[in-house]
Amino acid sequence: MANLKHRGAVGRQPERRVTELTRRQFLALAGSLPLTGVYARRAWAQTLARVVVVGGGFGGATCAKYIRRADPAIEVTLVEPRRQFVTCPFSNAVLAGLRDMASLTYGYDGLQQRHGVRVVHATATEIDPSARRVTLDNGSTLAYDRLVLSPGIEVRWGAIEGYDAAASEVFPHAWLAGPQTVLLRQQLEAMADGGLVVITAPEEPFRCPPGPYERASLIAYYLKTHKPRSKLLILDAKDTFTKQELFRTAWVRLYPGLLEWVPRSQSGRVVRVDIRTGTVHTDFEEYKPAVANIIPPQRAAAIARAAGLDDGTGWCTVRASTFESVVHAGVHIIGDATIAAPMPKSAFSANNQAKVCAAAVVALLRGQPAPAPALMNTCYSLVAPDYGISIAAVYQVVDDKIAIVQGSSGVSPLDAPNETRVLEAEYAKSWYANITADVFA
Amino acid sequence: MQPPLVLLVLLAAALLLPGTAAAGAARGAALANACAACHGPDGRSQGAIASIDALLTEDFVAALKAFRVDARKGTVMNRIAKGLDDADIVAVATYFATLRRR
Repeated sequence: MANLKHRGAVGRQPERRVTELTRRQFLALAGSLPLTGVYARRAWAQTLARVVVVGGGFGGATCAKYIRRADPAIEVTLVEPRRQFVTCPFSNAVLAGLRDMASLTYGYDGLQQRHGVRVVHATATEIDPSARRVTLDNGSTLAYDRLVLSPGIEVRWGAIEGYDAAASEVFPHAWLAGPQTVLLRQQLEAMADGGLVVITAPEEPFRCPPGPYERASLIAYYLKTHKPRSKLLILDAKDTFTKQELFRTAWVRLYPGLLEWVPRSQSGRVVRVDIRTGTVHTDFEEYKPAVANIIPPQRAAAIARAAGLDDGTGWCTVRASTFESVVHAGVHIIGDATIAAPMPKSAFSANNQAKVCAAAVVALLRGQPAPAPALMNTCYSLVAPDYGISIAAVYQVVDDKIAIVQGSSGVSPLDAPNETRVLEAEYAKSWYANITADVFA
Repeated sequence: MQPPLVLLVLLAAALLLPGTAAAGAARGAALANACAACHGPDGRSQGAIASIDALLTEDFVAALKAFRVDARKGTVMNRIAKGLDDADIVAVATYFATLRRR
């Protein structure tokens, strides 16, 4: 019989196998696992443990990679329709003309060739949790021992009256990166000086809480530099937002008279858009902007809501230590699709949860308890190319719920000197290079 | 006849020790994986954030403890370090040292 153990090792160098063995020995010590490895096997077939991961973004790609790193004897199949992934982080820099789309774009060669992940470019359409099978839109099915879903979000069309898929071709959301990002950037480039840009921000929960405000900041930077007579309004469905004091203090200094935030209590909440007339309607006001970026209400992407995994709420509840669904055993959900509060919906959280989930999946496949999770988040926002601010926290699991470790959470100081803002902007860029290497390389 | 208390204690400690070592190793790996998001895969960083893959274990421990009590000025690390206890700090420092022994 062929040595299935090295099926994923095609093209690897011998020294890398030694590395894997050493790491595996280390993990054997960590997991009290005999070196031969013991997995639940079906009596009638020599089946290795199989994990299917749906979604190849910050959560799914990381999880697939880290399961393979922990144990190359586990077969991991990653289901992702896109052949290349465009990151939302730093897409705001593209909107401001500071980066290009290529700098946001990553492929799956690293996962396949360095880590032996099987990548299938298709869309998962159905889950059968009792048969442990996933159906794909290319007609095939994948059997799994454990399933990880990391599909991200989808827009709730119609939650803002008149905002459907057709409307997003006129008023882009660009809240999933790719063609929408390009469209919004083209609209900003085409806008004449003196135009009005409107960005609308939804109620929580939504992907990337500081995102709309970083976007407003960087677009304001672009306008100040290239179209200084223009105006930018943030129309907010909320009365407060994350890092609010930091953003507003910086805006007064950097973009006075250009950028204005309109809270819900001052009629900031958008209730309707009309693309025929180019109008954005709030509770009591209406605007005819040259460019409108509608960041709409959202929910977990469709596959995460399949088989009742979201309990009808639009987001999936999971067990804190393993990210296993509370609805169906054997199915784990990570990233934006989950309710993991107080962890925010961020790329950092998805990547972090992916590693916790990977360790849990490997332990559970070995019939062992999942290790204590190391949960944390750090989010950088650029108010200008050389002005960075951050929010960070460490979390722990208490009574199977995620809670902030007292004293470990906070934002950049309000009165930090300029050097700190410059440094945090440099750290933001370094973080991006490091996390994308952690996910895709 | 009951074994002397000393022997029972030693036996208990001997049984616990491998478990403790194993738990520390797993904890170290879990923390190091979390660190990778900012500090790079295996602690090798690109750009302004420091690499943490080549620090002496005692320097690694000292740095995190200094951040934790704000004896050392940082940006994010003062917050993150406050989420780690002494066992965590030793575990993650030890894990990075183990990676270097490849």
